[in-house]
Amino acid sequence: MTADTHPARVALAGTRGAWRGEVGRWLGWRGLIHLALWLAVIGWILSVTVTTKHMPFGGLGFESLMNMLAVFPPLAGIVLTAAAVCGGYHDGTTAWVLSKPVPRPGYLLSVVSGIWLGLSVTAIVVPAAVAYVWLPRVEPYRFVTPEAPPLGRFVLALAILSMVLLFFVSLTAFLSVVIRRRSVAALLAALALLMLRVPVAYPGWYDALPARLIRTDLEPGEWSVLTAFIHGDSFDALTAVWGALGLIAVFALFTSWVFRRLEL
Amino acid sequence: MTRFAIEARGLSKQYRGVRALDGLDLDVPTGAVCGFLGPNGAGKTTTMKIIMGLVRPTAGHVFVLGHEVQRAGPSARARIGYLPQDPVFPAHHTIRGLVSYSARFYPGCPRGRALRRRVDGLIERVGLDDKARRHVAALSGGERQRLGVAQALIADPDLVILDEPSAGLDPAGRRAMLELIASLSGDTTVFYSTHILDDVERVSDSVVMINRGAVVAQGPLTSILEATGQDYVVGLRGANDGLRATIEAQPWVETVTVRARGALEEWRIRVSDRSAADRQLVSMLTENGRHAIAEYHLADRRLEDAYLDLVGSGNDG
Repeated sequence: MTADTHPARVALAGTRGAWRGEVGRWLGWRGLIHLALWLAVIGWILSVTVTTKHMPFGGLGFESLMNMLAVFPPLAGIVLTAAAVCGGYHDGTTAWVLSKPVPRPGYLLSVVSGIWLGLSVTAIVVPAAVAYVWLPRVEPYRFVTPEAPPLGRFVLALAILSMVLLFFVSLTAFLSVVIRRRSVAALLAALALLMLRVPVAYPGWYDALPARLIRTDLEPGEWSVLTAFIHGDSFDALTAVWGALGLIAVFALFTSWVFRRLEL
Repeated sequence: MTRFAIEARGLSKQYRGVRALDGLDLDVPTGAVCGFLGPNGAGKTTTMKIIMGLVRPTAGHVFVLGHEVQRAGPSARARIGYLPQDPVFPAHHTIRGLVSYSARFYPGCPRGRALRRRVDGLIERVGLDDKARRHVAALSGGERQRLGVAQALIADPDLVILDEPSAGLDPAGRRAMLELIASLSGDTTVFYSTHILDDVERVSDSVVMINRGAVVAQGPLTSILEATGQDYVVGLRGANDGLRATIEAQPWVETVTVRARGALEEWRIRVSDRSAADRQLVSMLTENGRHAIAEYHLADRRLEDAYLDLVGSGNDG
């Protein structure tokens, strides 16, 4: 075979092949299982929260939803990313892929984006879509008006949550490539999630981190930034979004730099 | 087309005080079937991983099909098929799925029906056609080995690198593997490592021997066998006072071993210059008429003999 060895085309073909492999997994059993799992988990918790009359915060439908989507997908992303990166390194499958004409950054990109896209759909978009339809019909949420929030704002909020997921996936990828121990990398990333959710102190610089988007140390009657936004308030956490995007870029660069030098 | 499919110069690799490769120079001719021999720990797998860009050398350069590996990146691997030692593949694929998936990494590899035909052909060629739907996780070591060869050949590579391709195979599988390697000869350069010297003698036209991170011999198989000396086996009757010392003193004689065999003495004379031996040995043996030659022939030189001479016995790197 007269192979095409033009560097750019080779790199593109290799990256595309790796990406299709990683994303393709989510189109099969893995995607179905995650879809069922998150619909069940989020749906069950929502139904308990909203319908139980003895719950002190009954009726917090969309707030509960935003809260869960800020926690479960990032946790799942942390576990899956640590398993994929560390597991692939230790069992030799990463070396097998990289023996093909796949650029190393392209391979990492395919792993991270596969997990991010897969979980964004199965653990954020689909459960949120179901809740968007179901919640206003079950019980009016205790906020401005007993109507479903504007779809555009709702979708934007989901996009921000997906970005939060990407933040933790890219953080875990970085830790996994550096530490190369699955449990340690996952634990450190989970610790970061916890610290951002419950900042012990709240100095101003936290505004630049995703903490502003997912923190739980709210005053009574105070809504989270995203819940307030979907119900019509202005979005006052733009710095946090830019900060998260910047950190994602930094993690990506450092991860790529370390991974290029990793011996397999 | 380059003369050598693989060229390495001064290749060294150090792992925390352990010198895995020590100034290795390697030339694998294009189109050859080249056996890569060495004891455990000699540096064979390290060399192959450096060629594939999975490990970076501490020093030196390696060129594959004209591309310098450290600079070219993925382009250097676009025309290479690789079977690692103890291959591990993503477990969620079936055999057919994995071979198809392997094709997607290569630009210019056929798609659709043409790809399916090629995949089926390769699976049949490696003897896995009755297991094409089986998942990779359920395969035995030998089956994974054969799958590894199939995925290495999917893009019709110009160079195939196989790390211990016969490992884990039963005799029938080993024979099939050798036939497969032999069938690639000419169109494709094959560079494979093995411990089974018989296999190398059967299918290889060139050999590289490595020990302690450095090449100790490389070249056409026949040259290797000749260069490492020839044994003349002589059966003598009669007293040999001083004869042994006379023969050992010749510059073209390397060693003389003598053992009793019934009424005869069997002499095994290792020579470095066969033409000098042909001219002088017989006359030396029969000088003064004190000896009778009952037997005289050139011993078949086996690769094992050359290997042990060059690498040593039990001399693990």
